[in-house]
Amino acid sequence: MQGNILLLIAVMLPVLAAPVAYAAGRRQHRRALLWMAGVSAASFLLLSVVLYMAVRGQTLTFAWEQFGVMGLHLAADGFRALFAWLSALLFTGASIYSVSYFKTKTNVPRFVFFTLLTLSAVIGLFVSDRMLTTVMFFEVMSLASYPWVAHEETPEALRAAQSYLWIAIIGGLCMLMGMLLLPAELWSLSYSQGLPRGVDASRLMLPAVLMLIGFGAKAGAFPLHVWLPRAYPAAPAPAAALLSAVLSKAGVFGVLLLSVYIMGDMPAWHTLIFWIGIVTMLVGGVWALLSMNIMRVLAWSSMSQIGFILVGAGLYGLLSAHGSIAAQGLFAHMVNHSLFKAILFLCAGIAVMNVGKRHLNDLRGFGRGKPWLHFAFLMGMLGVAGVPLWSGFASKSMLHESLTAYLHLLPSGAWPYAAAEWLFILSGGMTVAYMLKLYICLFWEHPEGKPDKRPYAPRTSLAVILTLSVFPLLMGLFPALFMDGLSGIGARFLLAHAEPFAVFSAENLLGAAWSIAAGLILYFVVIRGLLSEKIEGGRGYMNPVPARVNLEDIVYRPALKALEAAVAWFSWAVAMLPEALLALLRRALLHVRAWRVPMPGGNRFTSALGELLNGVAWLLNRTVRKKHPIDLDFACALAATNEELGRSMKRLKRSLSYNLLLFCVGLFGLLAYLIFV
Amino acid sequence: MLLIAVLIPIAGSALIFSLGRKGRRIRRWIAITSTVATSVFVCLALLTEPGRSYVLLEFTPRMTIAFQLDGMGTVFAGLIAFLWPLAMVYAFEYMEHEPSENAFFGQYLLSYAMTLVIASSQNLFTLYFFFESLTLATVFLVAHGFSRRSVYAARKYLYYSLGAASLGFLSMISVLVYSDTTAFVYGGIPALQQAPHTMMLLLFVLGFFGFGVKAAVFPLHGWLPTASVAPTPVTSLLHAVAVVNAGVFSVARLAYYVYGPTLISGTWAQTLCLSMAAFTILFASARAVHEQHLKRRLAFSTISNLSYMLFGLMLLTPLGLKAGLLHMIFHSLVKITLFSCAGAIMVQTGRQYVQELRGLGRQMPIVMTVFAFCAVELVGIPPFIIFQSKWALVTAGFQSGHIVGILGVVVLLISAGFTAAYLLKPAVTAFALPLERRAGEKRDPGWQMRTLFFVMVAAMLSLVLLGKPIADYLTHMVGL
Repeated sequence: MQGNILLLIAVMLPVLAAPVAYAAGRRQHRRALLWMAGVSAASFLLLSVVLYMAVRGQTLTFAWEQFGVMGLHLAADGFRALFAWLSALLFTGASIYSVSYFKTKTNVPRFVFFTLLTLSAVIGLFVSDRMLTTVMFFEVMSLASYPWVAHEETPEALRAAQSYLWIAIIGGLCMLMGMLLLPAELWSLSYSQGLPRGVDASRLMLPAVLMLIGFGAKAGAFPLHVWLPRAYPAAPAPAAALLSAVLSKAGVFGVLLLSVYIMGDMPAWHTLIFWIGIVTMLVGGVWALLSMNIMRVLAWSSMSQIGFILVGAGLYGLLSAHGSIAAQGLFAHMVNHSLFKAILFLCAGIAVMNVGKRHLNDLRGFGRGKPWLHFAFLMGMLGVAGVPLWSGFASKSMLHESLTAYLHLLPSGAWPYAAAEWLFILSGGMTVAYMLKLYICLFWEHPEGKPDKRPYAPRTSLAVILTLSVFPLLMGLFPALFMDGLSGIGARFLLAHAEPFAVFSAENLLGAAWSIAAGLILYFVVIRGLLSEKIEGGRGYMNPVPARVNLEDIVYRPALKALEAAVAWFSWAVAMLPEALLALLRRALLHVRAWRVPMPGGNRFTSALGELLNGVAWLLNRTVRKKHPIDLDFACALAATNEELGRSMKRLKRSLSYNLLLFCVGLFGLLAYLIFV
Repeated sequence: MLLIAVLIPIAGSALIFSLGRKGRRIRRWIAITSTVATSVFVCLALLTEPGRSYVLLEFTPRMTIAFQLDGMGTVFAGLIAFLWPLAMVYAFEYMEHEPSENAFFGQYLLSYAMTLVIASSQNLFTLYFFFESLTLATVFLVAHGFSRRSVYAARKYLYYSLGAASLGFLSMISVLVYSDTTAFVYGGIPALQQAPHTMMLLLFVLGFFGFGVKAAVFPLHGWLPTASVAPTPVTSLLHAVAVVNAGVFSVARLAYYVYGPTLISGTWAQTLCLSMAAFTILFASARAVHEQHLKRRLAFSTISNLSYMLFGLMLLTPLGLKAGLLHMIFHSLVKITLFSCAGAIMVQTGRQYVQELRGLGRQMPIVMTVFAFCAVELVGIPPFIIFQSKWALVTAGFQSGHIVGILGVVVLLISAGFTAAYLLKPAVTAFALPLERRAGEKRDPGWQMRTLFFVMVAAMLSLVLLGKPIADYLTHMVGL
């Protein structure tokens, strides 16, 4: 082992504490939750130290060659240290929030155990330095977060968990296959060292696509996003917050590794990522407009924002030398989105915890008279929507500007990319629209019955949410300070250099204005006009699309079932082969008579002919004479006829007339012979 | 030292047989003392005198029964020396539920002796001799209880083993014909390199299938799923570890120490054997997905994993040998634990089918947690041990340059997907789905079974860190 042991402790602390927390919580659940919060906070402090040193320019590294197959390699430069730190921060916040959320729930020690395991894996993932280490932590993280989704153990939760697990496993296997197909020198590539030289680029496309399947599925990219809308509503709110804020970024981290380090020189790859991002953005936005379940809206929203980030990743690659704005934008958006989603999910969690239901129609007006919740949700919403003076505006503007910069580089006939820009603005508008839907439904509608004046959330939970919600406003008011600071930290990992960026320029404000206008139009026309109706007491929201219309049920599950059936048939057929061979051998070598024993009264000839005619009859029955099948067994019939014939022949041969006939024939013969010879 | 190690279990077995029905305690004491003493002596033999050969019996100057513990033998002998005492303790608790313990433990000890001799044989004649006697020692274990199904399974096992061992006999005799000796030489017996090439290849293929019947290569795999009607200590130790690994071991000896890679590499024989191994991997995993009986499902999983080993071995490179042996060690650990879990479930609750495992995690948390852990291992999740051995297999496959070697990598990954389907799914549903409680079912097993579980899980976890030294030892052994 060499390097700074602090990194190893930061990674291993949660996983080592997990069994302890589990055991502590067996009697009293609260103790387990407190352990979880404490360990997360300890990790957070450790990682703060790491981050501080990274910001100072000192990258901590750690290597352990004896571990597993190719050793364990960690390094914490600015980007990675920041994300590990941010993850630990969000885990700590969610853990403190969980202390009250899980008051009435069961199976808490199990939740704590796997949350700590996931935390270890996430930290390890973000500070990993080699491809194999990254993949290892990624797999462990995917598996360890499964109990989050399955926690409630309702049928929906279990089904969502099933999708989650299958996509995690299949994605993980594709990822491993991709990694194995990579040239061997890339396995020991350290991210801190930068791009490798002299690798044949054409060999990389297939492995990179395979690895993209694994990473992209976790990030929520189309078309492997199908687990998102089921898993997020099914998981408990703090787990959903972590899934969206942290684990999806882990997937994006993997995609960035591919884009920056492995496929850096291939425009085809970056174009692929760009368009995947555009589609993801749109699909997420559309479904978020339509959904009625608050958690599901936020899930689709996460997918949409990940689409924005992927667009930025694609643009960064396409712009290559001029792409620093894209790099800064996507990095800033990753950080911002994590914050926003954490805030939004935790707020939604409070609503769900109190009302007990997730449907918008049941949550109407919950937020009335709850100023702190209102403030927090508003901060999150304005951040996600990209309203100027909140931090989302800066990151979205950076992404928008990189898109326009790319458009300038292209020849004028490139209409798909011009259309992409409008789609970008439209997605921004959709974001505004569905967030406005949630906001107005929660805080401005009138609830059924009298508003509940009891305390709706313990102060610690509110404190957590409020602490987080200060940042969108703060970072939005002083963008130069925060964005430049972030860029300075993170740019080196993405192999970019930090460029100053004018946040409040005219184009950016105009872009934001277009988005917000589109959003307001969408809200008033689509949501208020088409998707809701006035019912007594307020507004009822509805979703015209039936629930069974989704990619998973229509495409993936039938395809997997067909595959399973094919595999079953194949293995049955192959398994029959030795048995068939043995039966054939037995028949051949042991002279087992396979011919049918002739029926009484029949002989070989009748039975053979009878079998033949039976076969013909069967064929005819199947085809021509379906309505009036031939019912006769020819073998029996022929045997009976034969027997009848034999009997009558016997009788005949014994009769007088027959013998007289023969006598006469003989007499005539004799006469003929005497006359003619 | 080694001779003593072999003689102890034979003596112990004889003692047990002479005991008759009385005295469970005495029987157990004899069994466990013999086993532990044997293991101790084996370890001593490994440490103190590697490479020394003894001649036990000389039929003719060319056909001798001789022992020697070289690198490969050390690995195999060390593995079974570690596993047999644990399995013996497990069997104590398990066999309380089955009749005629006396004969069982006598034969169990005897098969320990036989396997040890296979591991430490110095020439092909010895290997063949004790290969056949292992069949005889284990056939009555399969037939334990003498129900119709057990007798059928034992007959099938016997016919397959004896029938195919005749092929091995052909191979061995041909070696005697063409060379002076059957002693193992790393890289192949020199005299055989001068023999007619096609004849040698043909005899190698015959020997591959002959010895490979114990390694359950398609199409000679049929006995293994049927043999899972045997009591679980038999299935877990013998049919997942000792007997089948003896098959793999023999194939390795045949390929690397008798005929030699230079003779076979690049020929149709290698392609044939590699393809059969790769096909078995895929076929057995696919078949396992649809098998509903738990032990049979694990049996198909064993068949698949055995072919991973055969695949590695038939790459005929030093890396391939290392990968095959590494997988042999790690898979044995995981499989014996999986079968032991299945046995514990059967004994405590009587549930035999995979659907019946639903929700069992609430009733038998320790057993099902261990099962889930082994399932995660077997799928090949880094950084656990099966991933390490699969990684070795994959790198060996790529490096071999053989087309089937590279295709085999794809096969390995598809098979990993199937493994997730047939192992991870029951492991997850055991915890996720509700439990259907039945009357008269018991909870987690006693301390004897649990010892096996805890030791195994501890071994698997520590090997995550210590796997590298084992791999390095093997690398050194194959001369890289």
